[in-house]
Amino acid sequence: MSTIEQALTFSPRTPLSVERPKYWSDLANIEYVVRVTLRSPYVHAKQVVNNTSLFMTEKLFDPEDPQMPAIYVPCITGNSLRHAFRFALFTLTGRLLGADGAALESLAEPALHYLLAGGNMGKGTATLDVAGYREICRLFPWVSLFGGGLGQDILPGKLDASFGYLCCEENVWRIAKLSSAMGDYAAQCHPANDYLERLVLTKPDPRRSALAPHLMRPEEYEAFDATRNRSAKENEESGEDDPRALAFYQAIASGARFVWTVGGSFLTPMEHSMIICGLYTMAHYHRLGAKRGSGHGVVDLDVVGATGDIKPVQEMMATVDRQEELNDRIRQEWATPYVDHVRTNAAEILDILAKVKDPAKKQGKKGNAAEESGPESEPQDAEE
Amino acid sequence: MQPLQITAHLIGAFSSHHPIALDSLIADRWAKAHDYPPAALEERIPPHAEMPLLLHPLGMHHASEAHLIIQGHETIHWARKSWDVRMLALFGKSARVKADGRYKAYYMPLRRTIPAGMLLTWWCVGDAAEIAWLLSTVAYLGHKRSSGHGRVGTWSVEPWPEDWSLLRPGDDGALIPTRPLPPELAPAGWMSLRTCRRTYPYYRQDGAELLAVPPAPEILAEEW
Repeated sequence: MSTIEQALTFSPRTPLSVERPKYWSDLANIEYVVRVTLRSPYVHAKQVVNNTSLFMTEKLFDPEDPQMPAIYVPCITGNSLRHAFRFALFTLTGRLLGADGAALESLAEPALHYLLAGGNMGKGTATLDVAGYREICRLFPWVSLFGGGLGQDILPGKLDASFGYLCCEENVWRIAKLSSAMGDYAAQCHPANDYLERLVLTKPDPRRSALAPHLMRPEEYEAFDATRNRSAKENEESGEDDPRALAFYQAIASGARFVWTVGGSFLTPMEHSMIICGLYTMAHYHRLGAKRGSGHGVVDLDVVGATGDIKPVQEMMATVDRQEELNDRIRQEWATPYVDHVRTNAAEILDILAKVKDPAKKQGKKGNAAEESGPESEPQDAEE
Repeated sequence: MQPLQITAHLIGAFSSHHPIALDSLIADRWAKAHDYPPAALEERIPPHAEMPLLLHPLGMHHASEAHLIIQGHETIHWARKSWDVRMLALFGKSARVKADGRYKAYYMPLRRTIPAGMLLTWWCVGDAAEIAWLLSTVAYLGHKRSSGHGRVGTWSVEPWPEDWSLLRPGDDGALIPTRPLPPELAPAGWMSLRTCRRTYPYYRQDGAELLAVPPAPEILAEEW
């Protein structure tokens, strides 16, 4: 038993100077600090008031001065970033599983949900033994990283994604606790409201294009043509949406920066590798938030810091000057285990996924197709 | 083992409908460090004697619930969307998106608490180094942790001159509980009661009993 004379103050996932417990394993506690730089306006809706979509905000008090009124600071929720991260990793995994995609096209939709959502390992009353769970986690490491379901129970995952904190005057004290370098940067930034802008988007109406008469059925086009000169009020009275409506969005302007952290506790090397793969795939696709199709949410993602007991990363950060070089080295050294794993075991993974059938097709019933299936369920013949 | 005060300096609001107990937090981390499987598969309760906390003869540890003063609340919403066309297109599927049953889209409210000074405080009697190591793996507290709620900026573990893990002096000098206590340990006439277990896992209802519990946190400003 050890005692202390002075206070120990430490950040989460940092190795401590005091004696480690004897049972402490080699599993890694690690967190990456990611700088998200906006290259186009970022849209992340909180709610819609009238026809304006407001940007997501977080309520904040100044911890040093509790008498100050609350402020609302724009943020990107961890839920949103986690979704983007998961989608990026799923995309990568999908491509690794089937080089030409042909093998994947034969999979049932529930199998894709299984891949994406972390997986549900059985029916509502299913049970799974620990050995089975560990085997699935070995083959599908994303089950242990993202979590999954077993009947009515939840299997927690290990991935933790923080909110994206806007680099602004109000957030300096918060960001400084995540990364001192980014804290210094945030100290030079403007108040949060300066980064908000208002976008006006129009709702396109394909029926008004020159091609519409050729592409639409004649009776459909004639019906539209008879109403094309109606006023907005007439449209409203007729119950149709006005195709000429404007939509207003609050967005964070280009050039603003967010700080985001992603990591986990007690990660295996494979799970750690997955996080790296997810980060770099996300950086490759580089569009986040809403309205991506119209060019919003283009971001640069850079790993600017790492805390935890992954010494190579810290050593790398101490020796590498350029950000691009650091990014390359992290990717080369840590991203390969997961890529190799999926490529090596692709046949086995696809074999298990192929057993997940879509009962909706077989029984012709509507509803949740995956409800009755799972990798543990008996293989069903799609031809039946 | 020594009396300790443990403080979490948060950098964001947390969501929790129940008090955050230190012993359950440490037991959870201890289980993770020992590679216990998820509780849904096999519920293995970390042995009480193995915890780095002093075990009381009445079956609970010398570890308090979180003490805080509430600065305010906020309700935000989290969304869960069904998988979109991009995902299906990637695998050559049609654009039909299944959005019912398990894949139903959600738009759920989440009530979050903002503590005054962004501080949560616990008291315990235990092994400081081991507790610090276990807490160093905790980056988020409360509900919806993996989505960034309840982010901890720094932890502080410091020696404390008195043992406040079960009872502590209130503002008027009278003793008040800092964790659920059986009647024989509760201050005479204590009227703040709750039906709960006296030790972890607190989510289970078997073995629940009527216990004396700490008073509800003081609320500085209630804003919606």
